[in-house]
Amino acid sequence: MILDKTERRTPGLPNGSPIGSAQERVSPRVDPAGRAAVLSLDRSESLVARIARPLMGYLLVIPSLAIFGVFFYVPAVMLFVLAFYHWNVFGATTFRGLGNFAILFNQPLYWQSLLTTGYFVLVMVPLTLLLALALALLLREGVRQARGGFARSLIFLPHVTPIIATSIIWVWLFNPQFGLANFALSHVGLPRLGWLEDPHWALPAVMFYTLWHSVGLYTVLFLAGLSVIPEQVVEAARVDGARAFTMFRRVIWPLLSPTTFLVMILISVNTMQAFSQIFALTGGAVGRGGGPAYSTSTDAVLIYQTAFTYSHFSLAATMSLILFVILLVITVIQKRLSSRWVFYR
Amino acid sequence: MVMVKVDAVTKRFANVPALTELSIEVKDGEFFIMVGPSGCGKTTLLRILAGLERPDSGEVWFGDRCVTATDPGSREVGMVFQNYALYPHLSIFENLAFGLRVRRTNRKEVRERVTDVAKLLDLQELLERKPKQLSGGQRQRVALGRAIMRQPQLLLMDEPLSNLDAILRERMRIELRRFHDRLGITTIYVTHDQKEAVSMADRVMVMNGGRIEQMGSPEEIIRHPSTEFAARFMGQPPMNMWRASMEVNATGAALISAGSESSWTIPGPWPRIFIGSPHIWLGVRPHDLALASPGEVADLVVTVDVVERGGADEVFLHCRHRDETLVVCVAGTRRIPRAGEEVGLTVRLDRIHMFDTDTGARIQPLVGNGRAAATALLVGGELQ
Repeated sequence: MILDKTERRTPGLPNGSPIGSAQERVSPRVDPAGRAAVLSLDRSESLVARIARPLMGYLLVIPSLAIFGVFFYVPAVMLFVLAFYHWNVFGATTFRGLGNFAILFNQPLYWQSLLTTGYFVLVMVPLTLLLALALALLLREGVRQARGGFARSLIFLPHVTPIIATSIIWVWLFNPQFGLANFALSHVGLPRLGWLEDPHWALPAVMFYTLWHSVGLYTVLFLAGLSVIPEQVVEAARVDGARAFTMFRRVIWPLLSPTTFLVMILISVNTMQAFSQIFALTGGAVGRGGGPAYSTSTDAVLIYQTAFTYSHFSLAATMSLILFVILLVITVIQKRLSSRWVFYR
Repeated sequence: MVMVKVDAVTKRFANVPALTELSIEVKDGEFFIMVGPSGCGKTTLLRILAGLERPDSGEVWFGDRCVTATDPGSREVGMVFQNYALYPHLSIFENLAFGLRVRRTNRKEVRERVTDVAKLLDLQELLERKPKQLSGGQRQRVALGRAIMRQPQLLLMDEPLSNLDAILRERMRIELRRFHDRLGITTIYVTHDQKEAVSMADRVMVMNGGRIEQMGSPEEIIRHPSTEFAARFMGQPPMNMWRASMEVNATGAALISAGSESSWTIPGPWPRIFIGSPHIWLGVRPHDLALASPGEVADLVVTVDVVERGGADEVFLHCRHRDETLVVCVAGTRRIPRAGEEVGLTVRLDRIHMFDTDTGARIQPLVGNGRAAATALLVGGELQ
């Protein structure tokens, strides 16, 4: 029995000690001679060397830490503090406690932005996930062929384009009078739509663009996930009689679950924070971002406008803090749930 | 009864031929081993039998059923893969049950069948574990269990022992053979290890470059390799092979001069085609060479290069004979020459092998078939 062996290898611990055997299982073999050699090497090192070595490590980290600190950690901490203050750019800054939260929760527009964000996320996560997975499965065979590289590049290409630039192009594609979108619709006999100028269709248009821009990234992630599924396991399942659907449901899907989980988290975070494309598509440059009729006014858009259009920096900070907490909670919940369906090899 | 028939199968990968017009027949209940160096096409043939590859031309028959275009799941075959290929996310129980679950077998039957197979392979204690928690040998047994779960008519094994350590491999060879004898499932087994082929098979097929070099029982292939390749590939240590010249005299006897002091006469009758082109490959197995006793006439005089202990009572002498090297197997009980020493060797002339240097084919005496010729050789050898 395996247990017997592990217990025999840990003479220092009482027989059957769960701690002992667990440790043994984690670190398979510790060679006492090897460890002794390392220790004696350490002792022979001079004092200067012993202090200088870790110091060198910190020294090398400093540049990146400084940039990260100035542009990320410090602003992040300041934002958290600011959320509880009223900050007047030209006057005195006063402590407001939970006052900012009270203002927000009494503001219907804020609630509406949260709902819009939730709707956006709830549609985008399954939609992007399924499309990316479907594309990856279609492209999988091509991975081994030379021509597969071309198809992969084609799908990944939108993701490397700048959001603002391509958003502006899509504004033209969505143009109700002479846009390509309506041209295509009328060709298949469907009614023309107002797209970005219609409160009902503006958000779907944004979703469409977001899907186009981001699906390539997730497809490539899925392709990477598929490529590490051992070919022989798939073949074993074929010999066992699994056809396409069974193969996917009982072999591919469970083995792909770590990738699916990663993609799910990434889509949730990216869509919840989505800003640039919404702002650009709905005319943020001319002061109309989030329109028409606030139909595309997600949390991120509202935060931007609160801060930079209306100069309510502290209120925007509060909103950011709430968004952060929501994201954190959702991620933690997803992580907890993941243990039930994600299999790590 | 012929269980598996492969008829003129050809397979190319990107225009590189992997199998060329290959035909075999495997009998019901036979343990058939395909052996050859990597890239010889043995695995491709196994995959064609499993249905994982389609042949470009030719047919595959299981019994009276043509399965050339049948998909793997409907062929009723079990397969053991080189790296086990267990389902990493499923427990051992579910690994074994997978094939039955795919077929929607009812729960009670699944439980019964898994329990039976687990008992057969001594896996009862492991059923709740995941493959990762098992040792190599245990995984191997699970892979075997999964392969026989659906009671296949044919068991395919692709180098199943190559991922195990030497000791375990040794043991599993015996286990696999015992297992086969107990269940009697027709087994086709691929390996690059000639030792596995010799020790386990009922019949061996030696392959090279997508073609069959020789097919027969292990003894037959060791005793009468039909090609130079089969001669070199099978047997441990490998057969000594060097260039010699062969002349056939008026009585039909062959005069072989192996670069040695005297030429050896082997009664024939031998074909005379070699009179013009006397060069041949001369092969002698290390066990068919011996140290000449004092007073005995040596067939070869060699210099000992390295003395290698082969085990408790076997010693391999690596010797030099002019430009050639050759290995002699001697009993460890007698006096062992030291490196650098010059020794005389006797050759069992009834057991030498001769091959055409152009075609690699075995040179046979003119009478009857190979077996009769071999008997003639044997008699001739004893007469000398």
